Amino acid sequence: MDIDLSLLHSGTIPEIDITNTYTLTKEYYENTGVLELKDIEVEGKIYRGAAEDEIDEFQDYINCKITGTMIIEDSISLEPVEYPFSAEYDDILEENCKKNENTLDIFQFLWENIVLEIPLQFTKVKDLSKFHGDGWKLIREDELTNSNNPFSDLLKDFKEE
Amino acid sequence: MYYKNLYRKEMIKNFIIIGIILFVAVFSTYHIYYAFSNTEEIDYSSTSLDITFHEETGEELDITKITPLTDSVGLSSKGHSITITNNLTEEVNYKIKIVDNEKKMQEQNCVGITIPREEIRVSIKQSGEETEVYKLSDLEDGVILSTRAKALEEEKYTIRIWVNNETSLPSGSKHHYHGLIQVVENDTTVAVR
Repeated sequence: MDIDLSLLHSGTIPEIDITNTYTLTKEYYENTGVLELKDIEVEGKIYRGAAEDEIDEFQDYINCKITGTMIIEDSISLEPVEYPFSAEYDDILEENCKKNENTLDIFQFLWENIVLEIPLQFTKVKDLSKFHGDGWKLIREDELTNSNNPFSDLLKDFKEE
Repeated sequence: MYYKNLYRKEMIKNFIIIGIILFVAVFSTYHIYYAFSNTEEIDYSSTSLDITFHEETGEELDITKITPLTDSVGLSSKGHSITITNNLTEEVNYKIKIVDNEKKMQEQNCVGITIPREEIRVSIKQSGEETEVYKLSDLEDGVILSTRAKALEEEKYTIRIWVNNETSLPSGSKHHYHGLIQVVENDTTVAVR
């Protein structure tokens, strides 16, 4: 969705309210681990502020809080699970989120900030006893011992050397 | 004599080559310029009014995915700009209307997935005036503005369209609305577009 920044740039309005609930289309996250991303609550505004570089006098800034829930795959059970996220942004509006000088693609901006919140691993599984098979079982890291390790003798030799 | 003839032949050959190069350059520059300039602005004219739509989509107003917006965000969304110029040295009355683009609705088979008109908001901003917001269903005969252009006057308008955030339709659903901006001169039934 495009936000028109021309009234802000002309000084007609001091800020643009972007508080709304947005839903990103699947094209944004189809190649990531996110299965669904909807009802993203955004509370904030776009405003003009002093430029940090010497080329322009003013720049566009955005101050907002983004909250929502993404559905991702559980790292252990591979079931879809909800992962709540929250991000705050108060900085210069990056040019790559703009279609042109006066047009902001709000979805592109949201996605660029939400993608940073996708966890590398996330699980809601607490009971690992269900995950076992013929000759293997899933254990927690603190349960890990070397007593049944077939390579333990080899490790001893290494230590002796 | 032989060298003189050879020189003359070479000169003619060079002139022909330069001529061809110049022709190709002028021809391609002309076509490239008009290809780009025409994508941005679409003009419609009658004897009395000149209408220029400044967006690539021209007179078409489309919603192809539901993103319910509060009115304040809807009013900040990208608008459709129009410039209407009165060509006459006398006043002209005209109306700006939002009508259904029935041809496009049929082409895209939107039956059953059309956004109800009462859930669509439209706004119009005339330069130097306050923005007016309406429910699409509240517009009588689709008229969003009825006004008078003074002699040789030029007016700029921005029209925005969005789905109100109180809609019952799920966000992201593929319900459609296809509309058209028409400028109709009063006392005639002629839509300039």
